[in-house]
Amino acid sequence: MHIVRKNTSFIFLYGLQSAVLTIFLVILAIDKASLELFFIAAVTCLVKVVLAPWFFYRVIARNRLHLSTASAYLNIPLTLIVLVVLSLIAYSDSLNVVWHYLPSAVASVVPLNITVILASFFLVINRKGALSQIIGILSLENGIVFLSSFLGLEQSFALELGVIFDIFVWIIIAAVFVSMVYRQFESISITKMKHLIEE
Amino acid sequence: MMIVSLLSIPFLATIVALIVRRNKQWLEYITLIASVAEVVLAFFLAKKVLQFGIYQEYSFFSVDAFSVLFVLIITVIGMIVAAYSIGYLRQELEKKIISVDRIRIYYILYNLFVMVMLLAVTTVSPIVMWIAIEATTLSTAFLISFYNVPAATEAAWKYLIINSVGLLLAFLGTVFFLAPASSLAHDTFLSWNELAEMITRIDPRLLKVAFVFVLVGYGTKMGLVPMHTWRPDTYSKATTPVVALFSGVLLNVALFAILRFKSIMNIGVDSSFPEQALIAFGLLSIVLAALVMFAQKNYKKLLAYSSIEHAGLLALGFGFGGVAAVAALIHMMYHALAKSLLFFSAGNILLKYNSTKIQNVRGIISVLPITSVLCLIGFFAIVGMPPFGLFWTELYILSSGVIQHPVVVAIVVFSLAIIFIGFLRYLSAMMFGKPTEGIVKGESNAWTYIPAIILVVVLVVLGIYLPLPLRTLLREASVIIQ
Repeated sequence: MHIVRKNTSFIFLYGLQSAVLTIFLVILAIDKASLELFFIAAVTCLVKVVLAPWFFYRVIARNRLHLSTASAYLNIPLTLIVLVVLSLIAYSDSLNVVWHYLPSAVASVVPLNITVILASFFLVINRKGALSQIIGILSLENGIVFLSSFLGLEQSFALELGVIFDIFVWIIIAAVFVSMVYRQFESISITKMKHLIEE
Repeated sequence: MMIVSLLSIPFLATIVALIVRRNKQWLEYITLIASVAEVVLAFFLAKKVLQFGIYQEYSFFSVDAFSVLFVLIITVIGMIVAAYSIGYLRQELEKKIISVDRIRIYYILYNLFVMVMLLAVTTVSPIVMWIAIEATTLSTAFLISFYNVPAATEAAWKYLIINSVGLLLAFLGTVFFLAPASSLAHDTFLSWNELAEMITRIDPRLLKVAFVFVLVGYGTKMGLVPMHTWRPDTYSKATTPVVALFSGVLLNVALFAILRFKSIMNIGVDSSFPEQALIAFGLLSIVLAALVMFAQKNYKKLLAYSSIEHAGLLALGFGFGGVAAVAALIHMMYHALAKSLLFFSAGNILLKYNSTKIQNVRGIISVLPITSVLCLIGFFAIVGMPPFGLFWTELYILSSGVIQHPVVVAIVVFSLAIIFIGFLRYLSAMMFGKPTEGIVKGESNAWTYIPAIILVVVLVVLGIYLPLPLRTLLREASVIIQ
């Protein structure tokens, strides 16, 4: 995601990340033989793999942003260096407090999860495009959902649905805002947003 | 069924506002009637809590002395803001700033906003609370971009992104709290009480990490420095009645979340860690607010930084603990009243002068005589002048912290002095002098100042005398959070 510059590819990658999350939830559902988890996986798939990319592609199509690219504050080599540092932090001993109580097989995956969270956080900061920031936040949310599953957080069916519904509404609002930003600023780059500074 | 009814009223008002299409008066009165009904129910709920200590409904909702205080603040301020919205939006409609359709959107989102805030403080589940607080961001984003101009959209965008990231961090912190507890309890719907029971079995180091995320996450919503950057722009661009709710109520809801987790932390680990963290964020907020307020050009932003200052004072009070925490609870109540009063005054000034810039506003005292008096009262209250309640609460917060944290208290006292001078400088410039040319003298309509007069009455009365039931609630609430 950090390397990709085209908005459409960016959305595709988010869909792919969400698809991996869905597969993970399906595996979890099979493992626990839980019908509720299957349903959660299906709703996650519908919201994050189908609807979210569809909304964002529609925003791109409506505003003719096909050729628009998302630029970043740091260039690719510097971005990669930051990502390496973030990975080192995620795997460092100082954070092992988060996973040390877990079985070793599960615990070994948690640092990878934390890397995803930190990298997504960095994505929101580093990108200049409004759409990229939104995808960054959604990727951060995916990372937290992965992590909560690995940490063994078992939530009731209603709570899971509540969180997904919240995210679904967020996606709709964010997509509307991207359109509003484009209409009013004739660009989806946040560098064009200078009205508040000039006051 | 009291809590369910309390949540159903704003929900029904939202539905009716969706159905009623272009009848402005219907929209106004439905929201006002709903708000009055919410206040009545909140008082009944408080009575139940006073009787039984905890009032529980099904296994999803529970209200104790601590949460009922927030219910009271949300509903009372909500009702007064609903009344003020009538006058404010009528005036904007008259000036053709907005259309009836915008008013409809306003009331739909307003009622939703109130409902989700009530849900956040009445639910037993930390996750539902997170969902509700996230929903406050969603329901208010379009109230910030209300005027559909680039600057408002920019402020709304900033609000949406910063708060969403902040709340995801709070979610991460909540996951860190709940994940080990849920694996110990084998329960899929963990309540605050169950979490409190499990907390001693969780690694204290993990709890500390979790609390940092929760504090940073909900601190973003509360507007603590350095996560405050969305607040001045949002306050300056959003429609004024909503800003009154942001400052008077939403800030407290975010604080509610932090304090709930802090009370859990007090059981699980040494309470000094969350307290020191709160003191650090509180001090930083007060100092930065003081510096920025001294060089401010926009009076709505001036009030935004004043809110950051008071968020800092609240954090400081709860950080100091003991008597300071009790004072902070009362401070929260007074601040909600005084800041709403100031935002109503700011709204009236904006309606008259059509500008939020301090340099464009002169001679309020002769142009808006009632508003100017209300504004002065609000000013004296918010800067903590006696006999207003905020004087006493600030005094108690600072005096109880002076022995253990003398340097912090000294810095805060110095900052408060800067804030007073800065605030007074701009207020006197706006109050006096020759009125700006072309401004017609006189108040807009009675709805724009009567709600503010009600606020003054409540503020003064509660500043002098706290009724016994309220004192009992405050005492019990302070026990719950310590």
